Amino acid sequence: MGKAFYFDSALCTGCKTCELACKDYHDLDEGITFRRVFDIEGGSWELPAGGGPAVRQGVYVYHVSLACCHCDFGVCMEVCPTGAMHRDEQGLVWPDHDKCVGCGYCSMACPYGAPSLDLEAKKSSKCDGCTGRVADGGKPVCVEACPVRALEFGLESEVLSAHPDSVRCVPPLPDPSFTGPNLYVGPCPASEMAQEQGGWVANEGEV
Amino acid sequence: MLELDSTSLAVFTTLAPAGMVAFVVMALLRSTVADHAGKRRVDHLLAIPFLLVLSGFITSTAHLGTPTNALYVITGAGRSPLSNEVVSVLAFLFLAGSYWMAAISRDLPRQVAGAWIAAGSVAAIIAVGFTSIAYSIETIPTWNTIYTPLALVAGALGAGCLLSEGIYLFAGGLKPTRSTVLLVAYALSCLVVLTAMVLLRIELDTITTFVAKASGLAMGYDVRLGFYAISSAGALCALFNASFREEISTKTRLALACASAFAALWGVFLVRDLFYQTYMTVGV
Repeated sequence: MGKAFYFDSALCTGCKTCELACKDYHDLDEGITFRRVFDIEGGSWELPAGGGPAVRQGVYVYHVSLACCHCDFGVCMEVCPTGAMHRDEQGLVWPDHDKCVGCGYCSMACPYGAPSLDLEAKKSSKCDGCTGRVADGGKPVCVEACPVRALEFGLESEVLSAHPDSVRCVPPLPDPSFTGPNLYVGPCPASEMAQEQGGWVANEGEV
Repeated sequence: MLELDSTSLAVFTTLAPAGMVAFVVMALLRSTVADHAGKRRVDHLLAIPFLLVLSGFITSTAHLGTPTNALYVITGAGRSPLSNEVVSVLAFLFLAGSYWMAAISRDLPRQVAGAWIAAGSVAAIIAVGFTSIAYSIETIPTWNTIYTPLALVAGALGAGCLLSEGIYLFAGGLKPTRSTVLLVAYALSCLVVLTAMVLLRIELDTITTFVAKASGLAMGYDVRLGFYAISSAGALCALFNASFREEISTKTRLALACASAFAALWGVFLVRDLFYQTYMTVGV
């Protein structure tokens, strides 16, 4: 059994410390972000029929911190024409820059938007799960940076036993049957409302 | 939004499949040419579809960030739909290019020429097939439909037939019945492309995710299809006149054939470009 991320949507405050810690650790340029935090909003409110001070509302907001899910059936690996996108001995998926041709098919096919083209290096770049840190017995830098411990990383079996109620998909994530993501999410009341009622990504321009 | 340089891919998927189909059609028609001199003329003209495929292939490398690593694509046949597509197109270019060079420089024995050109044709058919399924990716629901390979193959088939008819005019033309068959094949292929794209347009309305609706990708869709229909009709009219009007001069005939080829390829390009605009994944 491989490794997996766990994200608790009930704890995340959307502070984006994970995102910035990742950018800092990997020394990423302005245009590249391996981990992104989606702000999901939805619901509505209405004024009371006969007037009065109480506004009835059913609005909600929650956040989803998302990076590469190092999927079991990684579509990025399936479409890669050179074999550059590969799974290493840690079970983490990342592109070998010595082989990458920069065709962009991995970023095109990934439903999590994880790989992106590094316009300077002219090659695919994405979260490697901090494979070096993991090999040394550490954890990805995003996990260690999270101030509310909304992110966890470990063996999939450990993640599942610690969070038996976790799910593999909350909006806006795709159906996990497509790629088998190694991401488990602790749902929250707001994500359940989004699942039922729909909603939108409030920071679309940012992510 | 698609990060790729889709224009270069649209150029490639316009020129290469059309050129490969033209090569196959010309090879088939060549087998019916009885005299040796006629076969030699056709051999010379096979350079046109070969160059179309080659120029499309070279253009496609513009979307690669690091083409110097392309050797890994070539050695990766069977690894991914894209590597299969690239390797099969290269196989065609090798077989067609080597045949053309050999055929114009010496008299090839009839059986050798036949086997060589047949091998090139088989490579062309395989390459068109691989190109048509290279975008059937499960996580891209707007592309993973039957209409993607259908529109590409039909577009290539039509343009290939039309190009063959036009190119044969440079070698003195085909028999009227064969010209008619090629022009009818072109018209029918255009109708298939239009039908496939209209059905795709209808299907787009049904594809939604939490973050996007595929119907929103279809801005200007109908207008582009209209331009495709106009381009195709123009190409057909021009080549019909070039093929069947005996009173026009050879110069005019060849000019009409060139204009027709341009209009047909432009129409296919519009559809290919439209296809890339319909990109959307099942996720974020």
